[in-house]
Amino acid sequence: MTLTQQGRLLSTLATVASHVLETAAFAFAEIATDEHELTYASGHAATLIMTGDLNAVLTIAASESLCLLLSADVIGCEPEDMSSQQASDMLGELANIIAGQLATDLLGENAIVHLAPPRTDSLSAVGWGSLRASTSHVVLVVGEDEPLLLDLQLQELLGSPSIDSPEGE
Amino acid sequence: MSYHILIVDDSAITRTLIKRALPLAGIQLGEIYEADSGAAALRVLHTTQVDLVLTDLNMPEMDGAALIEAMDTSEALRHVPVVIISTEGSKPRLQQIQRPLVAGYLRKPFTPEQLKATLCSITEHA
Repeated sequence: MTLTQQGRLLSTLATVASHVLETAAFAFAEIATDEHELTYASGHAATLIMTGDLNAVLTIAASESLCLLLSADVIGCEPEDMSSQQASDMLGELANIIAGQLATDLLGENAIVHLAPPRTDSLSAVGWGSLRASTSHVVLVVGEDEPLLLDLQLQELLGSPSIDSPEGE
Repeated sequence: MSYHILIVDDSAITRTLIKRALPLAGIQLGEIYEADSGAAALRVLHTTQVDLVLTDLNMPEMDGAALIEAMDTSEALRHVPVVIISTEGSKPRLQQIQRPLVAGYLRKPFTPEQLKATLCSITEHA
């Protein structure tokens, strides 16, 4: 994959994630202009394996405070009323929704992409740093200064429409 | 008629979200049951009267497609309408899952208004 293709893929991922955050959690997000300025202490990561016409691993990471905020927004209560388990669960569900939407946006409605149930783990600042070292990630700023990292490791594309020309275009 | 509804999703937060949206759907609600997998849903369905199942597809242990297939092959359950609430956007995949008992499909993320429209269309035809 060329750098241009990689950039386009991450741009699509960022657009899909922003739309899902807005629709599912009423949260506004945009691509971070300088991700080095964003601070991260500890939080959660959700990883989801996609197989079929698209073979990829999607990882989403966010701080505990952002996960609490998003989960509270989704069900309409205060972040203080949410547990860490609910925050982690929220991130897994977001990964699920983003992966499903991404598959459709990249390959169209006739592609078949199986999504494995997301796996969620706690993520330290060191783990966050490792994810940021990857070349296949994009960071969104949610709200004023909360970073949300998305990483898409593309394994291969098998017998599917080109991601450069999604079906129907 | 009061509808006893079973919500099937491995995400507790999504089950909560659906449970909170149901009172806005304009149908009379009876008991709301929850299950975190297809297998858990079958246990509820075999022991409880349920009028409508709202199920996710992508779940561990037993996914929504397997749940729908199991319900479709059961004399006692094949009359219970199912609404799929999922991230699945693949037409061929949804066609594979299609059974007479599948009464509707709602793609995540959904709004309470979309849930209301889907449930109203089902209850009007009941």
